[in-house]
Amino acid sequence: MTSIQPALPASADLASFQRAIETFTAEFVSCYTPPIRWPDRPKIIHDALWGTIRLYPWEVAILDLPLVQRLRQIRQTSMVNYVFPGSNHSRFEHTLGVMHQTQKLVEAINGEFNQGGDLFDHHTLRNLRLAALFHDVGHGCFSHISESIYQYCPDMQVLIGNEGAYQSCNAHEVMSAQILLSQPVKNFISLVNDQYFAQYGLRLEPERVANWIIGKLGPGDNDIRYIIQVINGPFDADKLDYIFRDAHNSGLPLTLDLERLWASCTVSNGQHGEGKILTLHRGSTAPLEQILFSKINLFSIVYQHPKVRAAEAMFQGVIEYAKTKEGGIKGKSLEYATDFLSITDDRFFAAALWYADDHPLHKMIHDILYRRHFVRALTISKETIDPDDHEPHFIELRRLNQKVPYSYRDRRQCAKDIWEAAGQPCLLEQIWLDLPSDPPIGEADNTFVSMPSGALKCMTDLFPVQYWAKLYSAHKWRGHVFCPLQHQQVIATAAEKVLGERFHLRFNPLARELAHVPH
Amino acid sequence: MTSTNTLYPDDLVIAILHAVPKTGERRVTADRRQLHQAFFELRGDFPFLTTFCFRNKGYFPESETLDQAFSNLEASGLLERRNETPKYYYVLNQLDRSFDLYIKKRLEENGIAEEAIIHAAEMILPKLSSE
Repeated sequence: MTSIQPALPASADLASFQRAIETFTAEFVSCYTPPIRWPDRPKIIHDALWGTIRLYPWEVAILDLPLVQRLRQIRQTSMVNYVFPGSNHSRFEHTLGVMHQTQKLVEAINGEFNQGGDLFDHHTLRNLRLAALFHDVGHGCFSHISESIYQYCPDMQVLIGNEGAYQSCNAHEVMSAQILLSQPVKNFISLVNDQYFAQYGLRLEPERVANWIIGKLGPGDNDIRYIIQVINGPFDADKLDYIFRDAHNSGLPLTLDLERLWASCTVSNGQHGEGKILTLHRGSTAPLEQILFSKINLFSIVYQHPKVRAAEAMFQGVIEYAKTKEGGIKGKSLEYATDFLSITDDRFFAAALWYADDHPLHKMIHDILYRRHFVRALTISKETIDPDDHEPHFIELRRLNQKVPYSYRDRRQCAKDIWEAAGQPCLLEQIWLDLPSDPPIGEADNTFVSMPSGALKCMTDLFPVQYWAKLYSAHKWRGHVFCPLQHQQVIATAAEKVLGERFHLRFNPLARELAHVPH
Repeated sequence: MTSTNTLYPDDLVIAILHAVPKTGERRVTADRRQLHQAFFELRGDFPFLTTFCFRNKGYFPESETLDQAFSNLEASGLLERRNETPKYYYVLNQLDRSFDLYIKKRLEENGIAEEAIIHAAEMILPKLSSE
């Protein structure tokens, strides 16, 4: 395999982004003193979900980096643990789980092809495991919640915006890829390669792995699409671990037949010049259906639970207050995406101690920590709006859920109008209009099934599973106005008035009833 | 008070679907591959379509924004899908009302001529043919 450097635009903004990444990795990698004695034997870690996870000696060395250990301080499911108390697992556990799932997928496919030799050689497998180890190192505090903020920071928009080299990629994946490409990390991996080459012939390739993490095909990579799909595909190792782990720890009894999925995985030649791709055997598509439905269930029951969304709004409130009124938090302006790398969950909560007990930031952070969470003042959905008003006006409000840079500004303007109409009873940062986006559901359109004849069919053509998922999701949708408990009634009245006038909607009594607003 | 004048991706989808001829069944495909491909291919010709950010990770270019726009329109009662296998989006009269009430003015305010939208629609809609 040849090593391919991702094509990056040369711009001052990108350069400053990369400098900030280098500064971060200098702290979390370069300052780490390599072990006096490098690990010389495999290590076994017992995972609560998958049991025994085996690590190669060099992976033990990488795992010991503060950069990876930092993931212990970042919760996988942001604020979900305040509603589902078992959901306390970290990005560190998930990282190990993704490595385990990578191994399982590769073993299953190699097992299928062992007559003609392994499809994944040991070199590829080792690099895929490296991708698993690094795929989430770019996360900031509370995982996707901070990501939903820093993805719109100007330095990140340079990369993922329309003209960016990583157009439309997930912000945390870009961050992870850039961390892997930073000099301190590359230096360390080079050290690891040197250390283990003689005994194991180790050749870890950070440039190549960085591309896999963002799911980017480099020139000449079309032939190895199936490799990238193990780490970034419709049923990749990341998905297999997070769906299972998040559901298990939240106490959600979901069914996912992983044994069957591994057994039904295969590699086929794409029929439209895609090269070799991961496919499923005909008759074994049920596991993919389970993945889709589990994902939708997780979104509607767990991730988008109103109490979880309320806690996340509180986090956004802290960030907004810190940014606009305190010039940042812990010495970081929070104007740049890379600022968020320095704040893990524990550091976020510890920031309260920087401020006096009566300082708004101290109180706001402690309100999250001690679960004095916001409540719903108004529920927004098809059923809470007068049907005569519903069409064509509702779309004017609903569209503010788009993940575009200006939707945040428009939602905040609505919240400000509500706050003013209510007589400014609290801080502006304590009033939030929350309109969740749909979970992305592209898996079925990107999964091909190998038919007995050898032909490939798109999963969607066999069974339109994504329509079900989409409809289910659409009908479960709820938006809310959140506020502190003591202001619930006044905010409910103001929200009805402001949103009603602005969007020509009339809310029915259910809008308050579903929000548990007392009469 | 009026709603925001910012032009959203949803507004552009409304404007384009408003041009679906009012004779016969007003429907377009709900096939994601076809939909995303059609919008992606015309981005170069119509700068306003660059509001849809596409990712080339899978087998066809996919835009989360476009998915969300169709989902929003459906949830808001401007489009609907019928039958057990909802392969089509049916354009409802409410979509035209929404266009007349809000979108037409907003396009003007954002410097997008109605002719440009009609031109884009003429190019996109044949690609969304449900036949």
